[in-house]
Amino acid sequence: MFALNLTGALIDGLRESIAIAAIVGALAGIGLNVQFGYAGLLNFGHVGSALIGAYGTAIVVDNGGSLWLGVVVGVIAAGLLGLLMGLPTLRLRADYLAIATISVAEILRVLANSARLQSITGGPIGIGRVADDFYRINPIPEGRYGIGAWNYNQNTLWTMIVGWSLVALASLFLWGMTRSPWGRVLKAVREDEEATRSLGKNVFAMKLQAFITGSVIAGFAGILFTFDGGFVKPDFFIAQTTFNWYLVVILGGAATVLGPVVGSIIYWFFISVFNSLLSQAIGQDGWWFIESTDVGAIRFVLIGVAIALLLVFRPQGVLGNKDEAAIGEH
Amino acid sequence: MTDPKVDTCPRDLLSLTLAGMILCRRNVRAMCLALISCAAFVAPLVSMPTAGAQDVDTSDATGATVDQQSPGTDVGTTSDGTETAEDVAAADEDDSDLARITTTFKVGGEPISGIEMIVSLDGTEIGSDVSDEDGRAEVPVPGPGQYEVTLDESSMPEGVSLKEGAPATLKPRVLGNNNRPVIFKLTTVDHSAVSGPSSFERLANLFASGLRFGLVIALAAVGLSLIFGTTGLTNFAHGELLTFGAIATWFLNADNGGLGIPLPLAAVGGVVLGTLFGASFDQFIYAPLRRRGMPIISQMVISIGLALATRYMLSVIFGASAKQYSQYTSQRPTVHLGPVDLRPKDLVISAIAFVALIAVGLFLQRARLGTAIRAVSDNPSLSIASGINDNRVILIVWGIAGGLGALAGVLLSSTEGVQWNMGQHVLLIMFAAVLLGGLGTTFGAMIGGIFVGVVSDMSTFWLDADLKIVVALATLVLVLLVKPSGVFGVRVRKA
Repeated sequence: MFALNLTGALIDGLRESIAIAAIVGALAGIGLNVQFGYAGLLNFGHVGSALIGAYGTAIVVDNGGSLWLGVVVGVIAAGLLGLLMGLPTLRLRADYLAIATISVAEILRVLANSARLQSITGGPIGIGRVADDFYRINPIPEGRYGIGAWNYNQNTLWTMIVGWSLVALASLFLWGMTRSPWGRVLKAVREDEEATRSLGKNVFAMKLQAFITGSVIAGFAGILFTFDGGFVKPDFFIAQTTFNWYLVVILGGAATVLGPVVGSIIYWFFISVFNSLLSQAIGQDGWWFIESTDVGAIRFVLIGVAIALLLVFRPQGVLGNKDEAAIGEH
Repeated sequence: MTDPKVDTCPRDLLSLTLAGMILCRRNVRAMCLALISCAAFVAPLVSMPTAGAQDVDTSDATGATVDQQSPGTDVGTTSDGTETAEDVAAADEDDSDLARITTTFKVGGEPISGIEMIVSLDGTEIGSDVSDEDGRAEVPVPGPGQYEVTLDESSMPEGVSLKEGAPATLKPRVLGNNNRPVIFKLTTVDHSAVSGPSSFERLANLFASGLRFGLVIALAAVGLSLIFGTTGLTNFAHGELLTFGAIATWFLNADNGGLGIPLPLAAVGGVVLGTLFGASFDQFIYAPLRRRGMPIISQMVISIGLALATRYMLSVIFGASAKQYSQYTSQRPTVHLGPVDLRPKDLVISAIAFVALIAVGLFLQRARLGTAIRAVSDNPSLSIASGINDNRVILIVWGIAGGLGALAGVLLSSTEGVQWNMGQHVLLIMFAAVLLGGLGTTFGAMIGGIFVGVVSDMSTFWLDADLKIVVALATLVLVLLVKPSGVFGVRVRKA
């Protein structure tokens, strides 16, 4: 029916599967994995932490501060948000926690978007030229690098190197954490709160620590996102983004060290291949009732269906353990 | 911890993916549901080609265009005399390939002619235009770039000025060959100073519009609460029940792109389709999931996937732009109740929502089926033991929720236009309503809905309209922190 350029689509997929979007997904996924995978906390406001990280950095830079001060401020702010959000909400039931956290994230996004705060946040336009300092210390000379499908310019490559290093560090941290007594208690909290409490563990403190850790990692993800292009806008921080990250974690395998990384790579590979093929199939003129602008929408239909089908048929994802991944039974 | 049922994947795969076929063999009612649900989706498709032509695609509108995120923003009822100049007509398909910077000067719904807009690039003037009798002005620009658009304040008619703090120069970025709408925030000077409504009148009007919004939210929240009460599920796809009802009604009602049925009749059709749509959620998705013993939290995450899939499916079918119904679109406030000025449709909408709420209340209290629903909410095991078919009750509850959601969607969109993501915008407000009254308590949800609507609308007296949702969400968070069982003191029946 259609002459599709499959090779081109695969090249798109391979390139995007390790590009910055995938790194941001992996990093945010790791943060979510600490909260949701290991501690069993259903945080639907994860994107709020990324927002605070990104805007914290951008606002400092915008007011003449250095980028490094900005990053420190952003990360601390994300940690603080985790503390402030976690303190009152972590005693709530899973579904109440989900609603409370998604509301907090939405409040933050609407505030960032609002006209009232435009002088600080830039409103819907956001803040630009955030990452200039970051590109300035780029040791890679100008040009294009890579082999085959993986071909990037110097700034993208630089961001990717730093990004993947962050992912590696976070994964290493997660690996160490899961093998430590702290990690074991965390899993115990997820499996049976009452039993853990009866052993004299402070369940609430465990949850709070996990929540803050996840929030800090999400802050890093938000900052990394601003390095891709050097600007920050409220559009990215919609509730949808949190759900994309859930798909990343569940796809890779919740409560596994490499789950979010594998999940993010697979997610971006398939999304890009699908996007490419669909754009070709629909073309400029549209096909049947589908117009060329609908490609993005169809992608979200696919994401929605994927979330539902994964939970029904393979809740443990690619790498996970079925017993650990069954949410809500504990 | 391993659920033995999970191992029967192939059978469940069949029963889910081929749900329609299998259920058709199982009973006639399901077959009817499947057919009608299909019809609900297919009917709009048949009439698609004509619909496409008049659509304005807003999906790539960038930057500081009208904020579409704030729910309940009803330009027609802002009574403070200020209004953003909205670009109603980015629709113009011009022969020339040049992109244009366009604007519409309006105050209080009245277009203003004779205002001059000057466009320049890097200090060089590109062109200027004076707004016509529709308030429209447009300047073609040579290509992409960062332009400066200046409003000539000396050309503004007597009494009209820029809103306090609003800039007279905007710097829109034009991308590709896309028309770029810009917004100048105008206000009438004398409106607030001399002949404008008093603070009391403004508050009264905000209360009235908040009440209307709250009644509609309450209607939808009742369904959300009933579903939670009978199944324990927090349904994140509830907004899509509203959107579905509104869109189904639009396809029945619209003269151009729809079947052209008068709105009241079309709304009845939309509610019927919405009922079937809601019931089909249970029949094809949640009932099979319950049968395989899926934990309720997993079902909740599945409802998110479902919400996404449904929402964007509807956006593909309906298009990205907001559309109006064919009737009752541009009414003027002609009804005066004391200090409150209302359009006739405001009264009708509030009355319909109110009557529907009373009807649902009576049904739950008096009818046999209503009693059964309350029984299943209260104590599922006991009600099953007393001979109530709980699966049938839950199916009916989903149907009721779908119908009430569809009605709420139609009422909401008859003031604010139909849009594919309208349900998503009010989802968290519905949660706020339900939690305020206490999850699972129907009457709490009604009162909670009205309360949230009134409070968030009245907050615009002090705050910007786009912060309205923040007020609603802050209420929600506050309730969760202070009294998770709901502030109206209704005992939560389920843990």
